[in-house]
Amino acid sequence: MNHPVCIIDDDDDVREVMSFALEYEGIQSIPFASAMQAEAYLSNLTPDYLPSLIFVDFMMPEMDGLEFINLMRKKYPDTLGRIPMVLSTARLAEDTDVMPAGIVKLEKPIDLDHFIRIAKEHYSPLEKHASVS
Amino acid sequence: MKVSNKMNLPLDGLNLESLMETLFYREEFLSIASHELKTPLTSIKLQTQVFRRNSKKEKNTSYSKEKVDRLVDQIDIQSTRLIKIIDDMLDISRIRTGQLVMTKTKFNLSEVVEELLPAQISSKIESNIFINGDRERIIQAMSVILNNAARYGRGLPIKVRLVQRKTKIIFSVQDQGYGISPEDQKRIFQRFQRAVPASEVSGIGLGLFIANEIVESHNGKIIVKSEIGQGSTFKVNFKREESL
Ligand SMILES: Nc1ncnc2c1ncn2[C@@H]1O[C@H](COP(=O)(O)OP(=O)(O)O)[C@@H](O)[C@H]1O
Ligand SMILES: [Mg+2]
Repeated sequence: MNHPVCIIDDDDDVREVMSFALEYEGIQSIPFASAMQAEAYLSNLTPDYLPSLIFVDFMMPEMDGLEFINLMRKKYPDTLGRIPMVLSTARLAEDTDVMPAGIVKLEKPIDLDHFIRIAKEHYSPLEKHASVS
Repeated sequence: MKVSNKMNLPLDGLNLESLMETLFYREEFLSIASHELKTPLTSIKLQTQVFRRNSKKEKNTSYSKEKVDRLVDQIDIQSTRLIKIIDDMLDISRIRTGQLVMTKTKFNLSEVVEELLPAQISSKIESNIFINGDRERIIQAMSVILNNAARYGRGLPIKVRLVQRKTKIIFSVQDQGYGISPEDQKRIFQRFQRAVPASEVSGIGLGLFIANEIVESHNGKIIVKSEIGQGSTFKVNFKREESL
Protein backbone atom coordinates (compact mmCIF):
# COMPACT_ATOMS: atom_id res chain seq x y z
CA MET A 1 0.00 0.00 0.00
CA ASN A 2 1.41 3.35 -1.08
CA HIS A 3 0.53 6.98 -0.63
CA PRO A 4 -1.13 7.63 -3.93
CA VAL A 5 -0.58 10.56 -6.22
CA CYS A 6 -3.62 12.73 -6.63
CA ILE A 7 -4.68 14.18 -9.99
CA ILE A 8 -7.21 17.00 -10.19
CA ASP A 9 -8.20 18.08 -13.71
CA ASP A 10 -11.57 18.98 -15.21
CA ASP A 11 -10.66 17.54 -18.61
CA ASP A 12 -11.74 13.88 -18.59
CA ASP A 13 -9.26 12.73 -21.21
CA VAL A 14 -6.28 14.47 -19.69
CA ARG A 15 -7.11 13.12 -16.25
CA GLU A 16 -7.56 9.61 -17.53
CA VAL A 17 -4.34 9.43 -19.49
CA MET A 18 -2.34 10.97 -16.62
CA SER A 19 -3.65 8.24 -14.32
CA PHE A 20 -3.01 5.60 -16.94
CA ALA A 21 0.57 6.72 -17.45
CA LEU A 22 1.25 6.55 -13.71
CA GLU A 23 -0.42 3.17 -13.40
CA TYR A 24 2.08 1.71 -15.89
CA GLU A 25 4.93 3.04 -13.80
CA GLY A 26 3.50 1.26 -10.78
CA ILE A 27 2.28 4.49 -9.23
CA GLN A 28 -1.17 4.45 -7.77
CA SER A 29 -3.26 7.56 -8.40
CA ILE A 30 -6.63 8.99 -7.41
CA PRO A 31 -8.27 11.21 -10.02
CA PHE A 32 -10.76 14.01 -9.29
CA ALA A 33 -12.73 16.07 -11.81
CA SER A 34 -12.91 19.12 -9.57
CA ALA A 35 -11.14 20.77 -6.67
CA MET A 36 -14.29 20.51 -4.59
CA GLN A 37 -14.51 16.74 -5.02
CA ALA A 38 -10.85 16.46 -4.12
CA GLU A 39 -11.28 18.47 -0.94
CA ALA A 40 -14.35 16.50 0.11
CA TYR A 41 -12.44 13.25 -0.23
CA LEU A 42 -9.01 14.26 1.00
CA SER A 43 -10.20 16.13 4.07
CA ASN A 44 -11.67 12.90 5.41
CA LEU A 45 -8.44 10.91 5.19
CA THR A 46 -6.44 10.21 8.30
CA PRO A 47 -2.89 11.61 8.05
CA ASP A 48 -1.52 8.11 7.49
CA TYR A 49 -3.35 7.85 4.20
CA LEU A 50 -2.68 11.26 2.69
CA PRO A 51 -1.43 11.40 -0.89
CA SER A 52 2.26 11.92 -1.42
CA LEU A 53 1.79 14.50 -4.17
CA ILE A 54 -1.04 16.45 -5.79
CA PHE A 55 -1.18 17.48 -9.45
CA VAL A 56 -3.82 20.15 -9.83
CA ASP A 57 -4.95 21.90 -13.01
CA PHE A 58 -5.05 25.69 -13.00
CA MET A 59 -8.11 26.41 -15.14
CA MET A 60 -11.14 24.70 -13.63
CA PRO A 61 -14.70 25.84 -12.94
CA GLU A 62 -15.80 26.94 -9.50
CA MET A 63 -12.43 26.55 -7.80
CA ASP A 64 -9.24 26.90 -9.83
CA GLY A 65 -5.98 25.14 -9.04
CA LEU A 66 -4.35 28.09 -7.34
CA GLU A 67 -7.38 28.67 -5.14
CA PHE A 68 -7.30 25.00 -4.22
CA ILE A 69 -3.65 25.14 -3.18
CA ASN A 70 -4.16 28.29 -1.16
CA LEU A 71 -7.24 26.84 0.51
CA MET A 72 -5.44 23.63 1.47
CA ARG A 73 -2.57 25.57 3.00
CA LYS A 74 -4.89 27.83 4.96
CA LYS A 75 -7.53 25.36 6.06
CA TYR A 76 -5.36 22.29 6.66
CA PRO A 77 -1.90 23.73 7.38
CA ASP A 78 -0.67 20.59 9.16
CA THR A 79 -2.05 17.92 6.87
CA LEU A 80 -3.24 18.54 3.29
CA GLY A 81 -1.49 21.89 3.22
CA ARG A 82 1.88 20.19 3.59
CA ILE A 83 1.56 17.90 0.63
CA PRO A 84 3.74 18.97 -2.33
CA MET A 85 1.57 20.52 -5.05
CA VAL A 86 2.18 20.77 -8.77
CA LEU A 87 0.08 23.26 -10.72
CA SER A 88 -0.45 22.22 -14.34
CA THR A 89 -1.42 24.92 -16.76
CA ALA A 90 -2.24 25.43 -20.42
CA ARG A 91 -2.35 29.19 -20.07
CA LEU A 92 0.22 31.62 -21.39
CA ALA A 93 3.45 31.53 -19.46
CA GLU A 94 2.96 35.24 -18.63
CA ASP A 95 -0.33 34.51 -16.90
CA THR A 96 1.32 32.29 -14.36
CA ASP A 97 4.59 34.16 -13.97
CA VAL A 98 4.03 35.03 -10.35
CA MET A 99 3.51 31.90 -8.32
CA PRO A 100 3.22 31.71 -4.56
CA ALA A 101 6.25 30.08 -2.91
CA GLY A 102 6.73 26.36 -3.11
CA ILE A 103 4.44 25.64 -6.02
CA VAL A 104 5.91 23.72 -8.91
CA LYS A 105 4.51 24.63 -12.31
CA LEU A 106 3.94 21.99 -14.97
CA GLU A 107 3.30 23.39 -18.43
CA LYS A 108 0.72 21.81 -20.70
CA PRO A 109 1.17 20.05 -23.10
CA ILE A 110 2.81 17.92 -20.45
CA ASP A 111 6.12 16.21 -21.11
CA LEU A 112 5.47 12.63 -20.00
CA ASP A 113 9.00 11.84 -18.82
CA HIS A 114 9.09 15.02 -16.78
CA PHE A 115 5.67 14.27 -15.31
CA ILE A 116 6.67 10.75 -14.32
CA ARG A 117 9.96 11.96 -12.88
CA ILE A 118 8.14 14.42 -10.59
CA ALA A 119 5.67 11.74 -9.54
CA LYS A 120 8.43 9.23 -8.76
CA GLU A 121 10.43 11.73 -6.75
CA HIS A 122 7.54 12.19 -4.37
CA TYR A 123 5.86 8.81 -4.44
CA SER A 124 6.63 6.96 -1.27
CA PRO A 125 5.51 3.74 0.30
CA LEU A 126 2.99 4.25 3.06
CA GLU A 127 5.26 2.91 5.82
CA LYS A 128 8.09 5.30 5.04
CA HIS A 129 5.85 8.30 4.85
CA ALA A 130 6.35 9.51 8.41
CA SER A 131 8.06 12.69 7.23
CA VAL A 132 4.82 14.33 6.18
CA SER A 133 3.31 14.44 9.67
CA MET B 1 -12.27 57.68 -19.66
CA LYS B 2 -12.19 59.85 -22.79
CA VAL B 3 -8.77 60.77 -24.04
CA SER B 4 -8.13 63.36 -26.71
CA ASN B 5 -6.45 62.37 -29.92
CA LYS B 6 -3.17 64.20 -29.31
CA MET B 7 -1.35 62.61 -32.20
CA ASN B 8 -3.93 63.80 -34.68
CA LEU B 9 -4.23 60.36 -36.13
CA PRO B 10 -7.17 59.79 -38.39
CA LEU B 11 -9.16 58.13 -35.67
CA ASP B 12 -12.61 59.26 -36.74
CA GLY B 13 -15.15 57.30 -34.81
CA LEU B 14 -12.44 55.66 -32.75
CA ASN B 15 -11.09 56.71 -29.42
CA LEU B 16 -8.37 55.51 -27.10
CA GLU B 17 -10.93 53.81 -24.95
CA SER B 18 -12.13 51.53 -27.69
CA LEU B 19 -8.55 50.89 -28.79
CA MET B 20 -7.63 49.87 -25.27
CA GLU B 21 -10.67 47.67 -25.16
CA THR B 22 -9.65 46.00 -28.39
CA LEU B 23 -6.18 45.40 -27.02
CA PHE B 24 -7.58 44.03 -23.80
CA TYR B 25 -9.76 41.57 -25.63
CA ARG B 26 -6.88 40.56 -27.84
CA GLU B 27 -4.78 39.78 -24.75
CA GLU B 28 -7.67 37.94 -23.23
CA PHE B 29 -8.17 36.10 -26.50
CA LEU B 30 -4.56 34.95 -26.59
CA SER B 31 -4.88 33.62 -23.10
CA ILE B 32 -8.10 31.78 -23.91
CA ALA B 33 -6.77 30.47 -27.23
CA SER B 34 -3.69 29.18 -25.46
CA HIS B 35 -5.83 27.18 -23.06
CA GLU B 36 -8.28 25.97 -25.72
CA LEU B 37 -5.57 24.77 -28.08
CA LYS B 38 -3.25 23.31 -25.50
CA THR B 39 -5.86 21.27 -23.64
CA PRO B 40 -6.63 18.90 -26.54
CA LEU B 41 -2.93 18.87 -27.41
CA THR B 42 -2.10 17.85 -23.85
CA SER B 43 -4.32 14.86 -24.22
CA ILE B 44 -2.97 13.90 -27.66
CA LYS B 45 0.66 14.33 -26.63
CA LEU B 46 0.22 12.33 -23.45
CA GLN B 47 -1.43 9.46 -25.32
CA THR B 48 1.33 9.28 -27.92
CA GLN B 49 4.08 9.62 -25.33
CA VAL B 50 2.55 6.79 -23.31
CA PHE B 51 2.76 4.54 -26.38
CA ARG B 52 6.28 5.59 -27.17
CA ARG B 53 7.56 5.21 -23.64
CA ASN B 54 6.11 1.73 -23.55
CA SER B 55 7.53 0.65 -26.90
CA LYS B 56 11.00 1.88 -25.86
CA LYS B 57 11.06 -0.41 -22.88
CA GLU B 58 12.79 -3.75 -23.38
CA LYS B 59 9.98 -5.62 -21.77
CA ASN B 60 7.04 -3.63 -23.01
CA THR B 61 3.58 -4.15 -21.70
CA SER B 62 1.02 -5.17 -24.24
CA TYR B 63 -2.02 -3.04 -23.73
CA SER B 64 -5.42 -4.64 -24.00
CA LYS B 65 -7.34 -4.09 -27.22
CA GLU B 66 -9.92 -2.04 -25.29
CA LYS B 67 -7.24 0.21 -23.89
CA VAL B 68 -5.64 0.79 -27.27
CA ASP B 69 -9.01 1.48 -28.88
CA ARG B 70 -9.83 3.95 -26.17
CA LEU B 71 -6.55 5.82 -26.41
CA VAL B 72 -6.81 6.01 -30.18
CA ASP B 73 -10.42 7.18 -30.00
CA GLN B 74 -9.41 9.91 -27.62
CA ILE B 75 -6.64 11.08 -29.91
CA ASP B 76 -9.19 11.23 -32.69
CA ILE B 77 -11.76 13.16 -30.66
CA GLN B 78 -9.17 15.65 -29.43
CA SER B 79 -7.87 16.18 -32.96
CA THR B 80 -11.40 16.93 -34.08
CA ARG B 81 -11.68 19.45 -31.27
CA LEU B 82 -8.56 21.18 -32.55
CA ILE B 83 -9.74 21.14 -36.14
CA LYS B 84 -13.00 22.77 -35.07
CA ILE B 85 -11.12 25.64 -33.41
CA ILE B 86 -8.87 26.11 -36.43
CA ASP B 87 -11.87 26.06 -38.79
CA ASP B 88 -13.51 28.79 -36.74
CA MET B 89 -10.36 30.88 -36.90
CA LEU B 90 -10.17 30.40 -40.66
CA ASP B 91 -13.81 31.42 -40.96
CA ILE B 92 -13.28 34.69 -39.16
CA SER B 93 -10.38 35.51 -41.39
CA ARG B 94 -12.61 34.70 -44.40
CA ILE B 95 -15.28 36.98 -42.99
CA ARG B 96 -12.80 39.81 -42.55
CA THR B 97 -11.64 39.56 -46.13
CA GLY B 98 -15.12 39.05 -47.51
CA GLN B 99 -14.37 35.50 -48.61
CA LEU B 100 -17.06 33.67 -46.72
CA VAL B 101 -18.95 32.72 -49.85
CA MET B 102 -22.44 31.23 -49.73
CA THR B 103 -23.34 28.63 -52.32
CA LYS B 104 -27.10 28.64 -52.32
CA THR B 105 -29.42 25.87 -53.39
CA LYS B 106 -32.99 25.07 -52.53
CA PHE B 107 -33.22 22.41 -49.84
CA ASN B 108 -35.53 20.93 -47.22
CA LEU B 109 -34.65 22.71 -43.99
CA SER B 110 -37.00 20.53 -41.92
CA GLU B 111 -35.06 17.40 -42.83
CA VAL B 112 -31.77 19.11 -42.07
CA VAL B 113 -32.95 20.19 -38.62
CA GLU B 114 -34.39 16.74 -37.86
CA GLU B 115 -31.03 15.19 -38.65
CA LEU B 116 -29.17 17.71 -36.55
CA LEU B 117 -31.09 17.00 -33.36
CA PRO B 118 -29.96 14.39 -30.87
CA ALA B 119 -32.76 11.89 -30.22
CA GLN B 120 -33.69 12.90 -26.70
CA ILE B 121 -34.41 16.57 -27.48
CA SER B 122 -37.99 17.78 -27.36
CA SER B 123 -38.80 19.48 -30.61
CA LYS B 124 -41.54 20.74 -32.83
CA ILE B 125 -40.40 20.64 -36.43
CA GLU B 126 -42.92 21.50 -39.15
CA SER B 127 -42.19 19.32 -42.11
CA ASN B 128 -41.29 20.35 -45.63
CA ILE B 129 -40.05 23.83 -44.97
CA PHE B 130 -37.83 24.75 -47.89
CA ILE B 131 -35.17 27.41 -48.01
CA ASN B 132 -32.74 28.76 -50.58
CA GLY B 133 -29.35 28.83 -48.95
CA ASP B 134 -25.94 27.35 -48.30
CA ARG B 135 -26.82 24.04 -46.72
CA GLU B 136 -23.51 23.41 -44.94
CA ARG B 137 -23.25 26.95 -43.64
CA ILE B 138 -26.81 26.95 -42.33
CA ILE B 139 -26.10 23.65 -40.57
CA GLN B 140 -23.00 25.26 -39.09
CA ALA B 141 -24.96 28.27 -37.77
CA MET B 142 -27.70 26.13 -36.28
CA SER B 143 -25.17 23.79 -34.70
CA VAL B 144 -23.53 26.71 -32.92
CA ILE B 145 -26.84 27.64 -31.33
CA LEU B 146 -27.75 24.05 -30.49
CA ASN B 147 -24.34 23.33 -29.00
CA ASN B 148 -24.43 26.52 -26.98
CA ALA B 149 -27.79 25.52 -25.51
CA ALA B 150 -26.21 22.25 -24.44
CA ARG B 151 -23.01 23.84 -23.14
CA TYR B 152 -24.61 26.73 -21.28
CA GLY B 153 -27.88 24.93 -20.47
CA ARG B 154 -26.82 23.51 -17.09
CA GLY B 155 -27.80 20.06 -18.33
CA LEU B 156 -31.51 20.93 -18.31
CA PRO B 157 -33.80 19.98 -21.20
CA ILE B 158 -33.84 22.22 -24.26
CA LYS B 159 -36.65 22.87 -26.71
CA VAL B 160 -36.21 23.26 -30.45
CA ARG B 161 -38.75 24.61 -32.89
CA LEU B 162 -38.88 25.10 -36.64
CA VAL B 163 -42.00 26.78 -37.96
CA GLN B 164 -43.14 28.64 -41.02
CA ARG B 165 -45.22 31.81 -41.03
CA LYS B 166 -46.60 33.84 -43.90
CA THR B 167 -43.44 35.84 -44.40
CA LYS B 168 -40.80 34.05 -42.38
CA ILE B 169 -39.21 30.83 -41.22
CA ILE B 170 -38.34 30.65 -37.54
CA PHE B 171 -35.83 28.29 -35.96
CA SER B 172 -35.61 28.61 -32.21
CA VAL B 173 -33.70 26.96 -29.40
CA GLN B 174 -34.72 27.47 -25.81
CA ASP B 175 -32.63 26.45 -22.83
CA GLN B 176 -33.00 26.78 -19.07
CA GLY B 177 -29.37 27.54 -18.43
CA TYR B 178 -27.26 30.38 -17.09
CA GLY B 179 -28.98 33.13 -19.08
CA ILE B 180 -27.31 36.26 -20.45
CA SER B 181 -27.53 39.79 -19.04
CA PRO B 182 -28.89 42.56 -21.32
CA GLU B 183 -25.44 44.16 -21.75
CA ASP B 184 -23.87 40.82 -22.65
CA GLN B 185 -26.63 40.01 -25.15
CA LYS B 186 -25.22 42.67 -27.47
CA ARG B 187 -21.61 41.78 -26.90
CA ILE B 188 -21.67 38.02 -27.50
CA PHE B 189 -22.21 38.37 -31.25
CA GLN B 190 -18.86 40.08 -31.62
CA ARG B 191 -15.59 38.31 -32.22
CA PHE B 192 -13.96 36.70 -29.18
CA GLN B 193 -16.63 38.02 -26.84
CA ARG B 194 -17.65 35.67 -24.08
CA ALA B 195 -19.97 36.24 -21.16
CA VAL B 196 -18.75 33.41 -18.94
CA PRO B 197 -15.36 33.06 -17.26
CA ALA B 198 -13.04 30.90 -19.36
CA SER B 199 -12.69 28.47 -16.49
CA GLU B 200 -16.44 27.75 -16.33
CA VAL B 201 -17.21 26.60 -19.86
CA SER B 202 -14.40 26.42 -22.38
CA GLY B 203 -14.71 28.14 -25.74
CA ILE B 204 -13.08 30.90 -27.77
CA GLY B 205 -16.06 33.13 -28.43
CA LEU B 206 -16.29 32.81 -32.20
CA GLY B 207 -19.37 30.66 -32.67
CA LEU B 208 -22.09 33.30 -32.55
CA PHE B 209 -20.05 35.78 -34.54
CA ILE B 210 -19.77 33.28 -37.38
CA ALA B 211 -23.38 32.08 -37.02
CA ASN B 212 -24.61 35.66 -37.19
CA GLU B 213 -22.53 36.34 -40.27
CA ILE B 214 -23.96 33.26 -42.00
CA VAL B 215 -27.53 34.12 -41.08
CA GLU B 216 -27.11 37.72 -42.23
CA SER B 217 -25.73 36.50 -45.55
CA HIS B 218 -29.12 34.85 -45.98
CA ASN B 219 -30.95 38.07 -45.12
CA GLY B 220 -31.86 36.55 -41.79
CA LYS B 221 -31.48 37.69 -38.23
CA ILE B 222 -30.59 36.08 -34.89
CA ILE B 223 -32.58 37.35 -31.93
CA VAL B 224 -31.83 36.52 -28.33
CA LYS B 225 -34.19 36.69 -25.38
CA SER B 226 -32.72 35.81 -22.06
CA GLU B 227 -32.83 36.36 -18.36
CA ILE B 228 -29.99 35.64 -15.98
CA GLY B 229 -30.59 32.40 -14.13
CA GLN B 230 -33.69 31.58 -16.16
CA GLY B 231 -32.33 30.56 -19.52
CA SER B 232 -32.08 31.82 -23.07
CA THR B 233 -33.93 31.57 -26.34
CA PHE B 234 -32.04 32.05 -29.58
CA LYS B 235 -34.26 32.62 -32.58
CA VAL B 236 -33.14 32.59 -36.18
CA ASN B 237 -35.54 34.32 -38.54
CA PHE B 238 -35.28 33.82 -42.28
CA LYS B 239 -37.41 35.60 -44.83
CA ARG B 240 -39.73 33.21 -46.57
CA GLU B 241 -39.37 33.41 -50.29
CA GLU B 242 -42.62 33.20 -52.25
CA SER B 243 -41.24 30.98 -54.98
CA LEU B 244 -40.22 28.17 -52.61
N1 LIG C 1 -27.45 29.49 -24.72
C1 LIG C 1 -26.63 30.32 -24.05
N2 LIG C 1 -26.83 30.58 -22.72
C2 LIG C 1 -26.01 31.41 -22.05
N3 LIG C 1 -24.97 32.05 -22.60
C3 LIG C 1 -24.71 31.84 -23.89
C4 LIG C 1 -25.54 30.98 -24.71
N4 LIG C 1 -25.03 30.99 -25.96
C5 LIG C 1 -23.97 31.81 -25.93
N5 LIG C 1 -23.78 32.34 -24.71
C6 LIG C 1 -22.72 33.29 -24.31
O1 LIG C 1 -22.22 33.89 -25.48
C7 LIG C 1 -20.79 33.75 -25.53
C8 LIG C 1 -20.33 33.64 -26.97
O2 LIG C 1 -20.77 32.41 -27.55
P1 LIG C 1 -20.03 31.82 -28.79
O3 LIG C 1 -19.78 32.93 -29.76
O4 LIG C 1 -20.80 30.66 -29.30
O5 LIG C 1 -18.59 31.38 -28.28
P2 LIG C 1 -18.12 30.40 -27.10
O6 LIG C 1 -19.27 29.53 -26.75
O7 LIG C 1 -16.96 29.70 -27.68
O8 LIG C 1 -17.74 31.31 -25.98
C9 LIG C 1 -20.50 32.54 -24.69
O9 LIG C 1 -19.19 32.61 -24.17
C10 LIG C 1 -21.57 32.65 -23.60
O10 LIG C 1 -21.13 33.53 -22.60
MG1 LIG D 1 -8.76 22.78 -17.06
